[in-house]
Amino acid sequence: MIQRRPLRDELRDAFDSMSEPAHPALASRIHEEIWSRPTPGVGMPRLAAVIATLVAVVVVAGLVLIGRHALPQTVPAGHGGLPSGAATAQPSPPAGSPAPAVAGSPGAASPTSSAAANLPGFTCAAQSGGASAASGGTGPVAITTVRAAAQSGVDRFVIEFGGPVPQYDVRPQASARFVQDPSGQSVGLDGSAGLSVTVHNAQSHGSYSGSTDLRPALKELREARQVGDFEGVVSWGLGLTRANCFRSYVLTGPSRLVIDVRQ
Amino acid sequence: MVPVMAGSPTERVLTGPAAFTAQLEVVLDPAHRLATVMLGDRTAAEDAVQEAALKAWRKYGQLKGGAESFRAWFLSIVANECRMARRGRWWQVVRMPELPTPLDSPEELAAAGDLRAAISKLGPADQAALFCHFYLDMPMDQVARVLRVSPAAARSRVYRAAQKLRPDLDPSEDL
Repeated sequence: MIQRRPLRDELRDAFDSMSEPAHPALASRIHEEIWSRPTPGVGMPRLAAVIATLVAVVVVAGLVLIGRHALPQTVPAGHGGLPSGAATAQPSPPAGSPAPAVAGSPGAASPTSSAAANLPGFTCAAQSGGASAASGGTGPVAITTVRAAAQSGVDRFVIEFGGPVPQYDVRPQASARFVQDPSGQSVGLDGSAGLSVTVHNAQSHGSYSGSTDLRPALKELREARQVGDFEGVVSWGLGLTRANCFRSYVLTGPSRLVIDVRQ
Repeated sequence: MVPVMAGSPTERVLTGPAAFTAQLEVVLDPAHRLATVMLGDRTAAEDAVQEAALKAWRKYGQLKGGAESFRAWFLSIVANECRMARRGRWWQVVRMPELPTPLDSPEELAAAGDLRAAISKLGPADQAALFCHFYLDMPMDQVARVLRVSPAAARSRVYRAAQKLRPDLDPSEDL
């Protein structure tokens, strides 16, 4: 090996010649910016954090109280999450079977076994439900949580909302390929079949900060990916191991849309 | 520029913007040098440092520790700012045609003896790692804070980056 100068020295020279010290004007510019900003430095962020925490506690407490008293009565008034047996996706008639509104404690992901008796049966055709936009009246409903997990006999996909579950439809499809909204680009999910979940008058950005590409790798549900969140329409694609029957329904406390894929 | 010695009593007495700008002045030079190495352009480097300074000021309340920790913390914000600037679209459109070189990998450039060109062809994390460790003499745990990785990852990053510049690097050479 040829004896060369230590790399350290060579690098030092190279960095010295290719970099430049800061111009004094930069320091004054930064000083001006900082002194002109009311942003507090030390101490204040902690105060702000304390205030934010207090506000959050009050808001959460309020929501819990409202949820206990109001939600169970208001949400089931919608069209309900009953599957339409016909092969075409038609809105559920109001006279159809009632939505299985199960008021669970917040955080309870699965309906209790006593409630399971009220759940709709599995079908393999498109399903729809949820409250129509007209009954909502005010802007898109915020999505707060999305999750997927295996339950007894089903792989469950859940979207939680900050208000009544808006109108939705779930359409089976023969591949796990989805078109993204609004880009129009096609995206392939894990699996060989899919369910396309579309929620109208809903919004994900600004309220849902979790993953938009869940890969629970369950027996039936391989992947769930948000493929659209645009102009009040949120869509998720579910990649399934195989074409399979499913059921969709609405639960309250917290308000959520549940899609079960049969194992 | 008034030099404020790291760890001097003034630093602890000052609060708010005064404390921040006093600490900032010490690290402004190395920060600007790092940005010029990573961006290869003075104006872009100044913008990145200024943006980083404002971000640092907004988060200053969360910082704990003394001068050493301020330096690594601020440089990590600068490095991140530069990384984002490089990723920006204008960078790919505007900067690339300005580097007309028949050689394209850092290894080839280094072999040709053009160390500066080779450095400018390295990835942003490699550049930041080499600069902090060799030019600023930062110990590995500080380099790790700049890169926001573990000390072990920082060590291997420094070593691999150095190897790109000198493929026959002796592993026993003191890094």
